[in-house]
Amino acid sequence: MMNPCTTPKVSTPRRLTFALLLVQFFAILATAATGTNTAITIVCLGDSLTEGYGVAKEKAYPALVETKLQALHLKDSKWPEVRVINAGISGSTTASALGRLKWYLKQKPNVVFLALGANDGLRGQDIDSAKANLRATILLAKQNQIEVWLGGMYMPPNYGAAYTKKFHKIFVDLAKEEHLAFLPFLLEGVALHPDLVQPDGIHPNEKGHQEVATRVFDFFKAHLKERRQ
Amino acid sequence: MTSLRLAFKELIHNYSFSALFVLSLGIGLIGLTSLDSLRSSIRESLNRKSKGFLAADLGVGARRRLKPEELKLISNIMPVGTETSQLHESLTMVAGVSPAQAHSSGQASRLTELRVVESNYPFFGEIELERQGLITSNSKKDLFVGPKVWVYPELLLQLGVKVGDQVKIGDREFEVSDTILRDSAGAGSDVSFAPPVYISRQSFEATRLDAQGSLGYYTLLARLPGDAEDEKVELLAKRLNKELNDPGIQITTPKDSSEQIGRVLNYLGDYLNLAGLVALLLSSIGQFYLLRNYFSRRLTDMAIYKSLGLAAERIFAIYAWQMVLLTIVAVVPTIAITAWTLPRFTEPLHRLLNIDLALKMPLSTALIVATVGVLQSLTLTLPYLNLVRKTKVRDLLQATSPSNMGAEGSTGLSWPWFIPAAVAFVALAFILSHSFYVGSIFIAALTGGALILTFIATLTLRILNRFRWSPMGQLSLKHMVRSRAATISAFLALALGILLSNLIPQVEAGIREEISTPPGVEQPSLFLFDIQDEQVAAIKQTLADLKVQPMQSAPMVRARLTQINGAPFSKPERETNWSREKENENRSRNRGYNLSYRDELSKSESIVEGAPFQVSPTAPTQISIETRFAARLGLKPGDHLTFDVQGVDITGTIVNLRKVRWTSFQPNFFIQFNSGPLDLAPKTHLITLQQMSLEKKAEIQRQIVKDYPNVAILDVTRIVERLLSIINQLGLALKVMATFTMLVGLSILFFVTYNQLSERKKEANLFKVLGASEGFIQRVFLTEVLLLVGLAIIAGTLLSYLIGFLLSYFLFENLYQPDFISPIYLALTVVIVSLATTYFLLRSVLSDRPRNILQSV
Repeated sequence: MMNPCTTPKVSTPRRLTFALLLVQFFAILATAATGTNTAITIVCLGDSLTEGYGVAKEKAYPALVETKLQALHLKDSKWPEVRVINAGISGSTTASALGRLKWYLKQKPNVVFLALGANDGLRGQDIDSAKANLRATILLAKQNQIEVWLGGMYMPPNYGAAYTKKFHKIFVDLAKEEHLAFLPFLLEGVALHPDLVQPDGIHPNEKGHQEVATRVFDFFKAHLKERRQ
Repeated sequence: MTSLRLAFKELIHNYSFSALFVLSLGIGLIGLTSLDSLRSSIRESLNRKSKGFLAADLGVGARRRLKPEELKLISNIMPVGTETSQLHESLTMVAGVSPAQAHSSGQASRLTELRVVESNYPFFGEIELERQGLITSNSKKDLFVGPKVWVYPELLLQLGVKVGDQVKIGDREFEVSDTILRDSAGAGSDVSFAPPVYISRQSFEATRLDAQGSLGYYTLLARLPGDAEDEKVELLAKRLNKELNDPGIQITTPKDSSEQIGRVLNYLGDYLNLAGLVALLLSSIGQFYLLRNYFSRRLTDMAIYKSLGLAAERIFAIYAWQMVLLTIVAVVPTIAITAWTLPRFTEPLHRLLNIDLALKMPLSTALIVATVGVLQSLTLTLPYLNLVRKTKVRDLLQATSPSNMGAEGSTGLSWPWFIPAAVAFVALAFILSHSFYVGSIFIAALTGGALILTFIATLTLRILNRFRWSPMGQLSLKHMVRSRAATISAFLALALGILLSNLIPQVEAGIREEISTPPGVEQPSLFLFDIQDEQVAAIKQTLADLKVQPMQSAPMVRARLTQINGAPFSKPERETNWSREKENENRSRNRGYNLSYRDELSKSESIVEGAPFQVSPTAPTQISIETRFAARLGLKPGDHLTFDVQGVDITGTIVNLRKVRWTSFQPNFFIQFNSGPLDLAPKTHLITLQQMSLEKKAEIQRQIVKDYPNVAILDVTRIVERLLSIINQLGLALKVMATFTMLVGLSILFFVTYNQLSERKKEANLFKVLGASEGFIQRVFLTEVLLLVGLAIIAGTLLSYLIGFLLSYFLFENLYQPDFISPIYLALTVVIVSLATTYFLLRSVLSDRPRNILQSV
């Protein structure tokens, strides 16, 4: 290491650049040693459930999951540093997924967590068309070497047994057909608990998002582990 | 009892004068009675319509079933005799049973909104069915006889079924027993994606759709006993809100059932309260003049009583009794005539103007009129009786009128004795306005107006007196200056009468302009949304092929407002100890917004503050904000807003605040950007289509659903039609009220002019006796009337613009629209009537025999 006192001719910016290069060098060395902790970007492409309708953005599950994953990384550097992008839009349907993924391709994500379809179901839209939209999005992601993790949804029973069954099947089928990591129900443990949802009976409140985040974090962690292996 | 007997005796003795007094007071009170009754009828008619929107007086709803303890609490709070009905609304898929039918329509099932009702639904309003006709609360409903449903015609078209066919809902099949042609309820709070289907509570249970996890909206509808006034309903809603204290429970009143209806009813409420105050003041002016005239004629009698040694208290008692007797005799037939006549105008009003008003006089009006009549007569009597008490008999015998006495300085009406009358007026004003706010503003504006008018009159008399005039002008002026108090009070009465008569049309013009449809804007019928970027051109082509031209196409970008002028905007949600309002406010802050962008304004928008967008490729990010939204967030031009647009921060500057005419029923955005900054952001599009036939609508829906299944279609036809019908009714009702106020005002003005001239009869006689020619006398009096009326018209009209503006500003969200036509008509009518009255009154005096003239002098 050079002693700054003996090199008065070196200007401050130059010294800074040098220091940064040094840090980067050791970081590369460290990465090479473990071979795992390259930063990973996950885009949560969803609707109001992902956007965090009615709660602050930092209290919605994508932000909470990011915090948990960062804590994991800080605790154990074998886990990668993860950036989670909240790409949820209230009211959006599967039809918007393809166009929105194109917008996020600029961020060069490694993973897309696809959690769309609830609004298609709630509006009683054609199920085959929703499935086709999701498949097109999955294919675009794959073409761009982006891993797709799928979040499933259920329709409430008031839509009728036939429709709700057919609706959930699209997620199960897609996961199987496209070999995707699959979280069967995004709102598991939240949907039937009035204390975890807002007065509209649909959207999780702050507590509900914490519950969703716990499950999504476990799901992400499991599949990040698979990536490590 | 002696005082009562003396009072009675004197009234009988002067029967012709008593009859004239009763007649005049009765006419004045008929104005007040009719205006107040009309006001009540309009309010009742619109309340009935708005209750029809909710189908009840009040609704307590939640996205869950109400708990037994909540139902008990509600039952305890509701007045005894309240009827309730449960309504459950839920989205579900309905399928045509025959596969061939489903196939032919291109869709196996269709999303519908189930309305699960009880047999007493709807409490207000009606459902018009094609076969069974009008269905009201008491009608027998076939829904409760077997598994049957009522559907809208478009569902029949969409499912390819007809009345009598079966449809499947949940686990059960139902017969379509009728089609809904019109439904006054259910178009209020939310416009549904899905056509409603009515089903009975019993039948719904068999569908097994209401299982754990089902989403729906459960409302307990209530009909309060009797005709519940909206103030009472609002108070009850407030109490329920407080006691239930759960943000998940919504208390809905007819005012909340639709934002537009709520706004219309608020305007109407304050407008009618204002009209009530105007009626009260007009009638008070008339009454004051009548009493003034009465006492000026009774001064001699009072002096005689006094000279005979009668105590002032006895004299007071005699005249107080006279006032009470005369007022009762005037009030009773007034109430009877109005109560009999008004209902007979219902049919012609409906036939001629298509106004659906059930005209009748409510009991409250009768009470108000009786109170106004008696209370004001008594309180206005006080200053005159005080005058009698403290004035010498000699002065009383010489005086021609109490105001003249005041002018001469020997004695006069002392103003503290008017305080009881003023207090009575203020109290009545608050009662009649039903609002402390409206009452205060009105009284403040009118007091200010009266002071300005007094100042104008005093100043004008002083200025006119400084100039040298022709002998004729000099004579006219001399009288006005000599009896300054009488001139000023006549001027005040005339100018205030003109001001009040103009005031309601002034305010009405602003409200009518606000609720009318903007020129050149057609009403929409279908909203197509969630259209993706790449679908816009294709959908427009599909519409063109179907020969339909889109009305409006708007991009929608979802974003969160994160900063205002660099300070964070969103707040984290907190769990406990927050009031319902606080939690709602917090939630709304955390809610995203739909932004849109375009460079120009639509036909329904206008800039109220700031400048239009600067349009150029290098233009900065500019934002236009809707005025109400800006007020809610405290935003103004020049503020910087930062939005998180799908992970990208975009900061722009507010360049203008925009007013949106909601009667266009076009989609409008609170936050509008200029073109450019949001062009590349992920977005969807919204397209609106104009009114069209049911068949055309079904054809478009079929085609769009088939080719673009993601596109959601919202049919707004019925809600637009229903709102327009209420708004049009309101517009007409406002006009009728304004015209009627002008007519009442005109009759009061005529009375004041007539009264003023009657007092001058003696003077005209004197001129004749002294040898003045008839032409000269006529010119002197006509000049005087013209001066007085002219000045009152100018001052009253100008002041009506100022006060109209102030009232619109404080009470009607600055909806000021000056009306130039009505004041011209009123001014012309007042001038013609005044001159004609003067001419005919003088002719009767001038054609009289000299002996009679000398006798009267």
